[in-house]
Amino acid sequence: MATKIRVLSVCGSGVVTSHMVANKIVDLLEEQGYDVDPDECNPSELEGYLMRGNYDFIAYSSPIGDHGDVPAFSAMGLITGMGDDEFVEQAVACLKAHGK
Amino acid sequence: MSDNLQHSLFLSKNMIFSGVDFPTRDEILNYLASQFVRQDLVKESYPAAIIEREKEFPTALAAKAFDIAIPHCASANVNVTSMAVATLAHPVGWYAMDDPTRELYPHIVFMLAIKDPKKQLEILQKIMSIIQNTELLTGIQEASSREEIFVLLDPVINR
Repeated sequence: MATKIRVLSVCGSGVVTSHMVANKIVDLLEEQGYDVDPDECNPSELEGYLMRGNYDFIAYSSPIGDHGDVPAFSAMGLITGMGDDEFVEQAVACLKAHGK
Repeated sequence: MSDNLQHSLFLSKNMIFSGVDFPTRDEILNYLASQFVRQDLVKESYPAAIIEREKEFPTALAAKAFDIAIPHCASANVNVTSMAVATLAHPVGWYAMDDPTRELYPHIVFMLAIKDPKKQLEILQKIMSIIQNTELLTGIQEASSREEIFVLLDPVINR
């Protein structure tokens, strides 16, 4: 059964780029056996989202501020398509390190 | 009626601009955003929103082919989901999405007006596929007219 995880995708508008990224993460991690529940926000909403949600990691395409102890990875490689494998490796290694 | 027909396309031919030539990023943004206003695709607030949003959260990115930019803003400013494409005669400095201190030099600008991103995933996926398609981006850059660019993009974006 697929492992359920929660991902927060962050971009400048909190809707357009982050939605492209979130969707790609859902697809890429599904292939790795994960069932991704994504949320999207902009950098100024980040703190509130982190307070309310329990995220396994953050993917960001705009610079983000303090994100506590939630791991965060750049999503630029997913947008350009040049870093899909690297992103998946990072994310899966992080999830496995947390027992998922 | 003809207006509706025109607006049913996400990318219409008259929203393609070949060899746009302005000395600054803001002038390029204002020119393109004003075309959306003229076509009634967005609200009057759209050009200012695009320029402001770019200052706070820049939109240039280094695609595999070359640098491009995807300016967009909050959907409250949008009437009809649509897109403009501009090739630039002279690329100008444009800050990177992931690092607002790093200057890129986009050759193509894809300006987006997205009314409801959650409902328009397919279009966002198409835009992502264009960003990643070196052959297509090179073709657009080398095209010398809006007709040529439309022929390249129409099958990818409007179908």
